[in-house]
Amino acid sequence: MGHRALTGWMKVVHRLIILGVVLAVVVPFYWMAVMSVTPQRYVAGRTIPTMVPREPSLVAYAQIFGLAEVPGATGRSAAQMYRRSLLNSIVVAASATFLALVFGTAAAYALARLNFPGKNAAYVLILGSRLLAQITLAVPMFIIFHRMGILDTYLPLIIMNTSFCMAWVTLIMKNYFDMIDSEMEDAARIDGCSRLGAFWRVLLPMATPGLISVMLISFLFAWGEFLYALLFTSTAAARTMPVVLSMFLGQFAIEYRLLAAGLVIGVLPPVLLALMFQRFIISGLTQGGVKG
Amino acid sequence: MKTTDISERKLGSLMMAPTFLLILFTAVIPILYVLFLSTQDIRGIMNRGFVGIRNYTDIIEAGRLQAALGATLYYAFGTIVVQMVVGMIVALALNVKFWGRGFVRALILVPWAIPTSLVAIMWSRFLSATDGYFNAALRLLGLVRSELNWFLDPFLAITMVVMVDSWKFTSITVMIFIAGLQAIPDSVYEAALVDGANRWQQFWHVTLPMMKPVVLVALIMRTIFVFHMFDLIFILTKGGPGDSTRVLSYYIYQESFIFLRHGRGAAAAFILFLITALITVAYIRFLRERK
Repeated sequence: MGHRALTGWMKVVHRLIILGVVLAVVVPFYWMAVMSVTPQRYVAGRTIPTMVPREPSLVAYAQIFGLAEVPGATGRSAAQMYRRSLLNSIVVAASATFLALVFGTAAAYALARLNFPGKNAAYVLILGSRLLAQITLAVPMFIIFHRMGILDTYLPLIIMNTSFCMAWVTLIMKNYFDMIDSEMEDAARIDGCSRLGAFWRVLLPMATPGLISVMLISFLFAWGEFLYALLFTSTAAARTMPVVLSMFLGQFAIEYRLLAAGLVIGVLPPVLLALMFQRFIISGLTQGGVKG
Repeated sequence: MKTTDISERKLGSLMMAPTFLLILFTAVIPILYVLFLSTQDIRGIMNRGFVGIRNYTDIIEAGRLQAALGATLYYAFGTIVVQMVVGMIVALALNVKFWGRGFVRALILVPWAIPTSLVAIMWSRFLSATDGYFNAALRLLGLVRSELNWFLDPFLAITMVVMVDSWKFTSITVMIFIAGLQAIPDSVYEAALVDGANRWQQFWHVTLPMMKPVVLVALIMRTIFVFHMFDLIFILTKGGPGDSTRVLSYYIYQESFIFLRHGRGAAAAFILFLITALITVAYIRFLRERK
C-alpha cells in the first residue's frame, strides 16, 4: 500500500517493524559468529555468554579444515568427520542437482510440448509423488537399499534427493515452458532443425532464468536434507554435514566454537546463494507455489 | 521435414522415461510396500504374518495415534497462526517504499535458504537453559529472572518448536504475500481512496478480500509441510517432554526405527499419507474453483 506516504506514528511503527525483522534475522547469525571465534570459557556454562567476541581467533576454522591441531581425541575425530562430511555433502548435493535438472527438464519438455502415451498418468504421478512425506518412504526405501547392499554409500542419498528435486524441477519447468511461445521452435524446425535441436538450441536458452531458479532450489534442498542422510548412513564414509553437526550437539567434549564454526561454514553457501540470486529463487518458489 | 525426425510419441516417452522410472522406484513402489507392511505383524526382525487392520486398531486403541495427531495439530495451528499474521504484517511493511527495501527483502529470504536441520542445531544451542544466547537475551532485557528450561515444560517446548519453525518459514508466507500484494492493481486503492476509506478500512475491505486466494494457497502449502516436519523435532525435542511434541512424523520414526515395530510404523505412515492426500484434494478443488 505505498500509495500514500506513511506519516506520524504510522511511520514510527513501520520503521520499528522493519528494525524488528532485520534484528530477528541478523542477531542469530551474529551470535553464531561470536561463538565461532570465542574460546569455550567465555560461553560454556555462563548464564550470559559473551555477546561480543573475546580473545577472537579463527583457530576453530583452521581446526575444522585440518590446518591447526585440535586438542583431545574426540575433538580431533570430530574435526576429521566434519571435513569428510563436507565432501560428502558436496558430492551428494551436486550429483542430485545435476541429475534432477537433466531428468526433470527432459520430462518437463515432454509434458509441455509433446504428445505421448501415458502423458496424463505421468503428470499425475509426478504431482502425487510430492505428497509423500519423507518419513513415509523411509522404511520401504531402507529395506530396498539394504537388499541392494548400497546403504552407507552416496547412492541412496543421491537417488532420494534426485527423486525429490526432479519432481519439483519437472513441475516448475513445465509451467515455464508453457509460458514460452512455441513459435521460435516451429521456425527453427522449418529451417531444418530436429525436435531435439529446437529444444536444445532454441527453448533451453530462453528458459535459462527458470533453469537457474530450479537449480538453486534443488541444490539448497539436497544440501540440507537430513532424514535420509541420518537413516541411510552409518559411518563417516557417507554421512553428510547436517548429520555430523547434529552429532556434535550431543557430545559435550566438543568445543562450542568448533560446532559454531561448522555451522557457519554449513550455512555460508545457502546464505550467499540466497543473497545473490534472490530474484531467481523467489520467482521459482512463488511460481511453484501459487500456480500449484 | 518430419521424415528424418524421431517421432513425437517416441521422443516424448523417451524423455519422460527416467523421471517416470525414478518416481516408480522411489514413490509408487514404496507406498504400496508401506500399505503391505501395515498389514503385517512385524516386530524386530520377526514377521508373524498378515494381521489385517490390527496395526491400525492397535495404535488407535493405545491412544498413540490420537496423541500424535493432537501434537501435530497443535504444532500446525501454532505455526500457521504465527506465520500468517507475522507474514502479513511483514509483507505489508515491505510493500511500502523505504530506504533499503531491496536489502531487507533479500534478507528475508536468508532464513528460508538455511537447511531446517542447521536451523534446529543453531537454535538448540541458543535455547540451552544453562548457557544459551536466547535465554541470555531475555535476561538482559529483564523478561526472565531465573533459569528457564524450554524443553522440560510441554507447553514451552511446543511453543519453542513453533518459534524456531516460524523463524525459518515465515519467509515463505512473506514472499507469497508480497507477490499477492503486488498483483493488486493500484486503481482498486484509488477507488477506495475516493470513497474516503482510511488505511485500516482499505486493508480490511480491499487488500484482505483480494488476498484471500493467496492466503489460502500459503495456508495449504504450510499445512502439508508442517504435517511432514521431522528434522526440527528430532534435533530440538525428540518428541518430549511427554507426548507434547511427538508429532505424527516423529511417531512414525520412533515406531519404525527405535522400537522396530515396522507394522505399526507403516500403519501410521499410511495414515499420514491419507491425511496429506485429503488436504491436497481440497487444495486442487479450490484451485479449480478459482478458475
